[in-house]
Amino acid sequence: MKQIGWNWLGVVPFFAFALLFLVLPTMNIVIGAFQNPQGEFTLRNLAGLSSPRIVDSFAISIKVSLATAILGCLIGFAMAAAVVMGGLPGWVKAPLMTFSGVASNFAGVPLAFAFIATLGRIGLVTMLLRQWFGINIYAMGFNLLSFWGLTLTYLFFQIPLMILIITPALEGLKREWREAAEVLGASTGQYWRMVALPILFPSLLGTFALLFANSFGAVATAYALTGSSLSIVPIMLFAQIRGDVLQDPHLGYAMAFGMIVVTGLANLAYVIMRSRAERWMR
Amino acid sequence: MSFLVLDHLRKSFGPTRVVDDFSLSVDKGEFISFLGPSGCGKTTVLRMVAGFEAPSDGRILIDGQDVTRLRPNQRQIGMVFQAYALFPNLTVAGNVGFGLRVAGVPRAARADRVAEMLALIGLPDLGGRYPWQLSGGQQQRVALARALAPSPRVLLLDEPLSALDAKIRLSLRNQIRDIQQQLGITTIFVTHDQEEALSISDRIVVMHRGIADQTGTPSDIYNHPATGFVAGFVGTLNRFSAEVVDPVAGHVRVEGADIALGRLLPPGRVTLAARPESLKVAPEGIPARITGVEFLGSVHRLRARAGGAELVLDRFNAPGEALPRPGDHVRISAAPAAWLVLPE
Ligand SMILES: Nc1ncnc2c1ncn2[C@@H]1O[C@H](COP(=O)(O)OP(=O)(O)O)[C@@H](O)[C@H]1O
Ligand SMILES: [Mg+2]
Repeated sequence: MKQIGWNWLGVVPFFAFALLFLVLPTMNIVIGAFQNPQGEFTLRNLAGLSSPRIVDSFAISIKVSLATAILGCLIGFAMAAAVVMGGLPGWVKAPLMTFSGVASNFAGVPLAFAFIATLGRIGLVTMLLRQWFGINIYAMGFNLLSFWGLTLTYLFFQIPLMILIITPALEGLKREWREAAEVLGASTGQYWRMVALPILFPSLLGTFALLFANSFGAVATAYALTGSSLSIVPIMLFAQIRGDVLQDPHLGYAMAFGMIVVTGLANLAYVIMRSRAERWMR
Repeated sequence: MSFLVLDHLRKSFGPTRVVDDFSLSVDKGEFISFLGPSGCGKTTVLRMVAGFEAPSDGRILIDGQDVTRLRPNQRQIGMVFQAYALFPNLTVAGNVGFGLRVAGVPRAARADRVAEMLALIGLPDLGGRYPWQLSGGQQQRVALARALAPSPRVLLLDEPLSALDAKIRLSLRNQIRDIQQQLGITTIFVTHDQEEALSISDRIVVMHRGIADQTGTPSDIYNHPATGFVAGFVGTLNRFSAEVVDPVAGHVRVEGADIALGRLLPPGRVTLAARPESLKVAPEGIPARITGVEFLGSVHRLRARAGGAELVLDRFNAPGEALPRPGDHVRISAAPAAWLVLPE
C-alpha cells in the first residue's frame, strides 16, 4: 500500500490563510451580490449597477487603470532597457532596483499626501515652479485631484513595479541572439522587432495585466488623494461599505462583484493572448 | 592577394593585453583552425573579424576591402556560436531565412533558399519545428544553415561542437568540413580540441597567450612543432632531460644511455621529446620499467617510468606478438629523426 506522507502538512497554513482571507470573502461577495438585505435571491443589486454614477465610476476606473498600465509599461520598459542594455553606467542599477522595490510598495495614504505636498495646489513643486519660473501649472489646467493627477500618482508605483518585473526578462535576452541577428545583417530596429520583442511579449503582457489590476484595485491612494471628487469604483465601493451614500451594502457587494468580473475578464484576455504569444515555448 | 587578411591585430581590455601582434593571411576557400587552451584569445580574434570587438591596433581586410571600421551587419560574415544561439521565437525555417528576410529578399525566393539550405544540412523536413524541439546537434546544423543562407564571404565558427556529446561531435565535424568544401567558403574554426583541429583543417594556427605560436598544416604542426608549447599542446609528448655530450656529432646522454641524433645541437642541456607512436621497446636505449598495459583496439598503450619521467608508448596491435608485462625492466628508444629537440 502506498504510504501516506506528511509533507502536505507544511502547506496547510497557506491554504487555511487563502481560504480564510481570499476564498471565503470572495464567495461572500458573490453571494451577497445576489441577495437582498433579507437574504433572499435577487437581481436588483446587479440592475443597480447600471445607474449612471456607477457606470461612470467603472468607466473612469478602467480608463485610469489602462492609462497607468500603458504609461507604466512604456516608461518602466525604457528605464529597465537603459539599465540592462547599457548606456547607463553599472552602478546605477543597484540603487534603481532598491528604489523600485521600495517605491512599488509606496501606495496608499502616505503616497497621496506626498503628492499633495509636492504637486498639490500649494505643494512644494507647484510653488517653486510659480515663484522661480513664473509657471502656474494649475492655471495651465493641471489638477492633482483629476484624472491625470491620479494617473501621475499611480505611475509612482506602477513604473517601479514594471522595472522590477521586466528587468530579469531583459537580462534573459541572450547576447548571442543580438549578435547573431547583427552579423546576419539586421539593424538594431530589426532585431528588436523580429527577435527581442516577440520573446519579451509574454512577459510584457503579464506585467501589463498586473499593472492594470494593481491600479484597478487601489483604493486608499485614490480616496486620500481625491476624497470623493473623482468617483472611481473603489471609492464608490468604500462609500457603500461605510454606508455613506446609499446605505445599501448589497449594492456594494454588486460593485465588488463587478470589479471581480472586470479583473477576471482582463486576466482571461491576458491568458488567451499569452498562449498565442507563447506558441514557440515548450 | 589573400582573401582574408588579419594584419598585426592587437586587442587590450583595459590594461590586459589579450591579443598581441596577430597576423594571418587566408586564401579563398581555405579552412583554418585556431587551436589553443581556453583563455588564449581565440574568441577575441574571431569577434574582431566579425566586428563585435574593435581592434586596439591593426587592420582586417576581406577580398581587398578594409572592413576594420565596418559594423558587423555590413561585413557579410556568417557566424556559428558555441551555445545555441537560434532565435527561440522563430521556426527552423524562420531562423534559416532570417538573414534573407532582413535583406529584403522576397518570400518565394527566400523559401527556395531555405529549402536548399535545409537539404544541405540533411534536415529537409524540420522547417516547421521550433528550436526547443531539436537536439543539440540539429540545432547547431540549423545554426550553420542560418549562417550560410545569405552566402557570406567568410564563415566563422566558435567552438560549435563543444556542447555536444562525443559521437555527434565526430559526425558533425566531418559534415562541417564536407559542406565547407562543397561551397568552397573561406572558414575559420575555433577549437581547443587538437584532434578536431588536426582532422579537418587545411592549416592550423596554434595560439598561446594571445600570440600565434605557429601556423602550418596539421602534419607540420604535429611533426615539426616550432615551440615547446606547440609540441606539448598538440598530441601527447614524452619528455626527457638530456645532456649534450657532443654538439657537433649530435650525441646526448639520457639516464645513462647514449643516443645518437646525427644533427647539430646546442651545448649544455636540452629536452628530448618523442611521440608515443615513435617510442619503441628495443635492445638498446633508455632504461625504464613498465607500469601498465592498456588495450585500446588498434593499439596497445604501454605506460612506463624512466627516472622521473612518466612515459606513454603506443604499439600497433599485432596478434601473437609478445608484449611486455607490468614490472618488466626494458629499454626504450626511437629512430634518430623521430626525436624532437626542445630548449631545456
Ligand atoms: N570583454 C572582455 N573584457 C575583459 N576581458 C575579456 C573580455 N573578453 C575576453 N576577455 C579576456 O581575454 C582573454 C581571452 O579570452 P577569449 O578570447 O574568450 O579566449 P578563448 O576564446 O581562447 O578561450 C581571457 O583572459 C578573457 O578573460
Ligand atoms: Mg572562446
